[in-house]
Amino acid sequence: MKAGNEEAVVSLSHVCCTAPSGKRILDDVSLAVRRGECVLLVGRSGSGKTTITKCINGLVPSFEPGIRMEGRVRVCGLDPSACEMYELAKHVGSVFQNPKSQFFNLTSNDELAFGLETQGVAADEIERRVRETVSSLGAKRLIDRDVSTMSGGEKQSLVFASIDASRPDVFVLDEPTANLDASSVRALHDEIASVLKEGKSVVIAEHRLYFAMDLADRAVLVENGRIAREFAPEELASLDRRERELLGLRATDPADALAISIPRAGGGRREKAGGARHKDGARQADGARHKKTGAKRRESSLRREDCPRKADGEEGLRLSSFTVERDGKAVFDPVSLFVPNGGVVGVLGENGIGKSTLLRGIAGLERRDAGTVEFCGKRLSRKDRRRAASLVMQDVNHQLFSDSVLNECLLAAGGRNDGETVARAKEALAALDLSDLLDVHPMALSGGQKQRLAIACALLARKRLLLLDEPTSGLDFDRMVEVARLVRSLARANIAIMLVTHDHEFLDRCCDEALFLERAAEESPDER
Amino acid sequence: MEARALRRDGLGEGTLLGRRKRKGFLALDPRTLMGVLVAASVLAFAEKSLTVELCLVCAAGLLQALAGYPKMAAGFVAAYAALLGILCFVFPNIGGVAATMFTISFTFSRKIYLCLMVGALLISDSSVHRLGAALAKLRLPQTVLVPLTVTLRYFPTLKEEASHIRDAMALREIPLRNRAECFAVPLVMSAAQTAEELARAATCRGIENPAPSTDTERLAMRASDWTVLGLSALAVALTFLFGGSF
Repeated sequence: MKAGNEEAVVSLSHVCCTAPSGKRILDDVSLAVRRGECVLLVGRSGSGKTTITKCINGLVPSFEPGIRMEGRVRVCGLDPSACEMYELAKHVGSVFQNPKSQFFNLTSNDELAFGLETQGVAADEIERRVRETVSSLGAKRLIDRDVSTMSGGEKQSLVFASIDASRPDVFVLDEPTANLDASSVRALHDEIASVLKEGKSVVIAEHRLYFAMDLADRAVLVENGRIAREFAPEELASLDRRERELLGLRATDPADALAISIPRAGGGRREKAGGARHKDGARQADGARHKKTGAKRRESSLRREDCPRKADGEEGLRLSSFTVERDGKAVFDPVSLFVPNGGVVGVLGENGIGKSTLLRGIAGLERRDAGTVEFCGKRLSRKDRRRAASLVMQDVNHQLFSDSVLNECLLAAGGRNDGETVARAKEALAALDLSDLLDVHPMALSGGQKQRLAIACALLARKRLLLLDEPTSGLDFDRMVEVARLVRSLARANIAIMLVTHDHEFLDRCCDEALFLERAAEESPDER
Repeated sequence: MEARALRRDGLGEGTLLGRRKRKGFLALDPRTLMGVLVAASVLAFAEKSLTVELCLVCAAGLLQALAGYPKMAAGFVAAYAALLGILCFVFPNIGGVAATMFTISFTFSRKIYLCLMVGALLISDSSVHRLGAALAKLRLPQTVLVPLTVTLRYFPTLKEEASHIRDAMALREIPLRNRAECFAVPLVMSAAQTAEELARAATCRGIENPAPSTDTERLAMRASDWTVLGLSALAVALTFLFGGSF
């Protein structure tokens, strides 16, 4: 990969970007990317990584007229601020974080052709190039699909493949793996490796470092809008844990990033699953770490024993052979487990296997389910579950309804506006570090603040069962640790918590047990 | 040589682009169906006897069946028979306010029934991509075409988001008077965000390129298309000239 010649395909020299508020987003950034090189942009959220990618793909200044840019940017000899975006599009391809909002056609074949269609390339040539892309990326699974039925990981691979079909020189990826599971991340990794082999340049801004360590030629640390340091990949990998975490970076070693040291929760086919090979060699690392954390776990199970039990039954959520049915078939293998009040169970599994569906099913939002759900010793109907549970969705924007933070809380507390409710709301907001934001519109909050507001609403509705769907997707190290702490403190308040995540670092920090969701056994192999 | 290499990539014979799921006896161009739709709309204004109307509905049913949708054809013809039966035999006998009310809506449905039939065929037979290609061939300007196709593409996302919001509301016990507002606010907000992200991705993919887009659907008007169009025109002309007198 390093064999590429010295010609700079992308060059930023002394680039400064200033937001309308006067804040410096980028401060004298100079960066050159050679042909065939893979550069990893690392650093905390808000440090300016994304803005650097936007300078390369032309979104700054074309799409952000508020941002004032100085300095000189050249991409394949073009000046992004002076040339037309469609000229630049022939040389630069971009992959963004959200797989949902990057495609324009409802079928995958049309999507693969989209970039070339807009250029007016002859139909036979498009056909040839799409075939080439599909076979060189090994992406046959993406052909002839209805895009709306694809999982997030497949969508992201489709976006990458459709960009590759128009053969740009530079690929710019802005947090491409934020919503992906381990196997989808691996697929994307292989696709990136394949375009690097063809001599393309790749710029990746990413928090999940482990997946790109063997692709990157160097890693650039961005701090407060400046390039603070450059690492060779070996250098970055050799940082010890404390140093790395001080820089706000996540694990670089796949064995660390994918290791799971917490015990398994009672899965449907536990005996079989226990022996099953665990992907990415995480299992090997697992054994070693198991011993280290043993003491911690004893402590947590002790605490669980302390948890008072009522005479009429156990305190917590119990699922017995629970599954959700769609079209008369089980979506995932039936799950039996117990989450005590004050306990946290993390749900793992591939993209599209039904993790979110499990949470929705527990919350009583799925029309048909099988098995039973008991909470505090009482079997709950779907309607009861909707009352008992609260769900913090992956896209938290869907569940904030009101015009200010305080009103949102009052709405959650039953729509009352008396002194007592207001006091309770303020107390809950203070506990979640939101008390300065009472009059702010919920949509004006940052992602993390929105998430905490949704949790505040759950607490105010006096719900004892909290379900979290991907609470850390796209978060940097510091914020991930913050969410982990929050989850632990909620658990201490005697709430039963179940969360879905792809983020093993997060899982290890805040969950007591991990549930590996498996595909339903009845499904015949020719499906999908 | 190269062609053979491509065959071996395991992607099957034939073209990847412009593939269609279902093929009937007639593979029609969307433009033909648009033409037939225009004819059906004109016919809605024509005065026609019951015999002529029956003939037209059967002809449209035949077109659906030949295009590969026999079930759709059977459904529409059966529904038409039911509609006619209710209008001619049930309502005149029961009378009353309810009958009058329904008579109006049923009569209206009967008037536009041909349009419904052809419209259903057009939507089922052509993907959004294919419709877009057809409209581009009809020289619809890009400024109209791009927003139109993006809107059509957005509907599935809208449906998904609406269902998420409904779920969130179900978990929150929202007072009845706030329901509408609580539904609309997040929907509009997330629509705005999706629109922004889509526009950004589209721009980065070069959607603003002024060069005429490639028609990967490879649309072409064949003899069968012209025959169907010719028959539709004939049906319009004959109905206007003689439709009332049979």
